[in-house]
Amino acid sequence: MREDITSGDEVLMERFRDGESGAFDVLYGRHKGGLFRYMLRQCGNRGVAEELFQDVWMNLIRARAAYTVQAKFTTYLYRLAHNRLIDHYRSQAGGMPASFDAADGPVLDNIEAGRNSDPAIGADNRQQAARLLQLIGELPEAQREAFLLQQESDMSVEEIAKATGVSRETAKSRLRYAINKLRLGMGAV
Amino acid sequence: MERDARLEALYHAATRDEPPHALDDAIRAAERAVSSKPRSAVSPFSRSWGVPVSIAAVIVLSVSLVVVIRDEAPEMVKPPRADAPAMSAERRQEPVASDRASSVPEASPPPKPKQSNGIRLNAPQQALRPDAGIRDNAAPPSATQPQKDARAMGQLRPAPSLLAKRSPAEAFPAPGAARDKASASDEQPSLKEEMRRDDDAVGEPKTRSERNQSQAKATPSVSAETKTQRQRELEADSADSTSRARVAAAPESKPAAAAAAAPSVSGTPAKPASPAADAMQGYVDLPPEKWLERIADLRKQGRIEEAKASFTAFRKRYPEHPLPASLKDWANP
Repeated sequence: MREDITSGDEVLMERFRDGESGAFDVLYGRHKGGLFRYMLRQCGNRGVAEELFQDVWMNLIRARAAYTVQAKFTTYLYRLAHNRLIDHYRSQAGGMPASFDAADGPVLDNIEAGRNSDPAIGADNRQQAARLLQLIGELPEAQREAFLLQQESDMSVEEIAKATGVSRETAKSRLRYAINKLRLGMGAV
Repeated sequence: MERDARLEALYHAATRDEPPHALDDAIRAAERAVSSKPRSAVSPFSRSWGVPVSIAAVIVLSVSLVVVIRDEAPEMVKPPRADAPAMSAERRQEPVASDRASSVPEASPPPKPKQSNGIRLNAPQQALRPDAGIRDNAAPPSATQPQKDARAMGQLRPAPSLLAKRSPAEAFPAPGAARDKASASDEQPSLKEEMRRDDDAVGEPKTRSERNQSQAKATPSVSAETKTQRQRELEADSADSTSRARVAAAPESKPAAAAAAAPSVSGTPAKPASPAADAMQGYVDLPPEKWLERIADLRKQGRIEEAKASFTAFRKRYPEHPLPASLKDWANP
């Protein structure tokens, strides 16, 4: 388990908690892109993503007085983001996505071969990137979240588990399923 | 297994979305607004000294409250009396029963009668007085009352009313005298003595009048309420004596009339006393008008000697007081 709590983010957050406004600016600059993309990929709607993104930061600002260093700052930040996202899901007509209820997520061993069998997509990087984003969007929410947390905040499986409130095995399984599907979709299997 | 380098590179190449600058500015502005509010509301002084100052204030208030309560506590337990120091001196001479010693602190300083604070707590004082129930509920002690009752009462503190009836010499005996009393009796001798004396006092008019007179001299600071009560008692006694004197035959001898005039509750024969002294002593505390009325009554009843003696005493006490028409002939002998 990688628990490097002495990194700069935690110190900055403590300084922000103690009233140093400049520390927040640094933290915000470091993590705004990853968090925004996390929200954008999870929501699929830019406007909603912006709203959720703002809510997460405002929650962090309000809760700063109670902050104590117990894990990496990114784990703390994405835990807030995860909770806000769950609230958003619950407020929607469809309710909570089914993928968050299943421990290992839906078993989708095979992504349709027809999607990733087009050699023209592999030839063009831009097209590959678009294809990847499309595949990410088609992942179940829980698996997508695990993949995005890994990519945007460089979290380990343990940290993903902590941020999403699941067991390590569940987080690992979700992440494995997500990567397998993306590989299959990109024709890299 | 959980990472794929090619996917990661492709993902980071594909996605470069950032929040809009307007959103950045809004969040930073909100952060400054929220962060600056508490900082301005809570000054550094109150943040660092607020808790210690609050704790110190609570401690100071608590200590002062305890001190005030400790000062007031003796007043709540014992009624404030002018004779408290003398009482404690007398009680120190008495042999102390073990249970009494545990309930009443002997070494406690005498309570100071405080008039300024206005806290009087009359009802609780009555309730807390150890003799309250005895005085209020029990019948007046008689000569036939069992010794057991007297002993039980001896365990308690004598009532202030009992002491108030007594002359200062009786109520506050010298330490030597109290020590003699203590050695003369087996248990609680002074209290038993007091009880017996109280019984006797009911039947001895001479002692009573002497008590009234000596108490009036010795304790001039007796409250007006007590004085009024004593006056009422004296009036009642006087009225009783007047009626008895009327019942008695007029040509009866004067000593007999004087003896009849004395209240005799227990039926014990009164000591022979001079009527003039009785008349004089009985009216000392009366207001001058009442006193003159009594003198006129005595004169009408034919008790000339008593009336003249009382009149002489009245003139000594109130030389300038105007006289009624019925007594003006005595003004210039």
